[in-house]
Amino acid sequence: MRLSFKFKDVDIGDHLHAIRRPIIPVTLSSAAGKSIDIEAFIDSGSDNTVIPKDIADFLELELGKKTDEIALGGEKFKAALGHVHMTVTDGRETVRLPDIVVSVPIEGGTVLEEVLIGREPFFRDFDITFRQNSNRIILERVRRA
Amino acid sequence: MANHEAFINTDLSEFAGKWIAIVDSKVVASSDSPKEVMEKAANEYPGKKPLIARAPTQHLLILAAGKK
Repeated sequence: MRLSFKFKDVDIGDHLHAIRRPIIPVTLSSAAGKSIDIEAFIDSGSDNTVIPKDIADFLELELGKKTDEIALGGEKFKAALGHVHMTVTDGRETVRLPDIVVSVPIEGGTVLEEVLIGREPFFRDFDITFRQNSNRIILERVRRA
Repeated sequence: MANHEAFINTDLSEFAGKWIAIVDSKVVASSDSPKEVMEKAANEYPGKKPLIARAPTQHLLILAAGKK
């Protein structure tokens, strides 16, 4: 199964060409029955998937009491772990990823302003190819090892 | 997917760095707070599920690992 998306082109003033960012739509849902359609940044430099606290609050995520220290963009945060279901669709194919562990920054650093899809577990669920020159992000479903 | 197509194809520079809600392929709310845009979209477009996004910032993004 293969899903395909375009990059989001962003004009950066001093550059000759637009910067292409790998941003895809996902639906996050929670055990509380809340869900949100939201754009998420595929970030191969992140170990884990991270969602802003405001989004976690909206989803009424139950966060663990234990916190981990995470480094994000050179800053350190204390983050709690929660669980979401993530649905990814390109309009033709739909994949539901149940029970994904996400980090939610709760203390320190500046406010996280993005949903970041890190490698765990997303990159075990999909082989991801960035075809920047043909403006395609390809997600190929694989079975988790 | 129409809302996502609008996100991809629309020049969002006027909203750069802000949270936005897209309903029926149009930006219907913007704010520094995702909670505010969700509330505004829910109040003004009941029964429609908005797409929430952060309008991309117009500066380079560099991953920087923190010091141990």
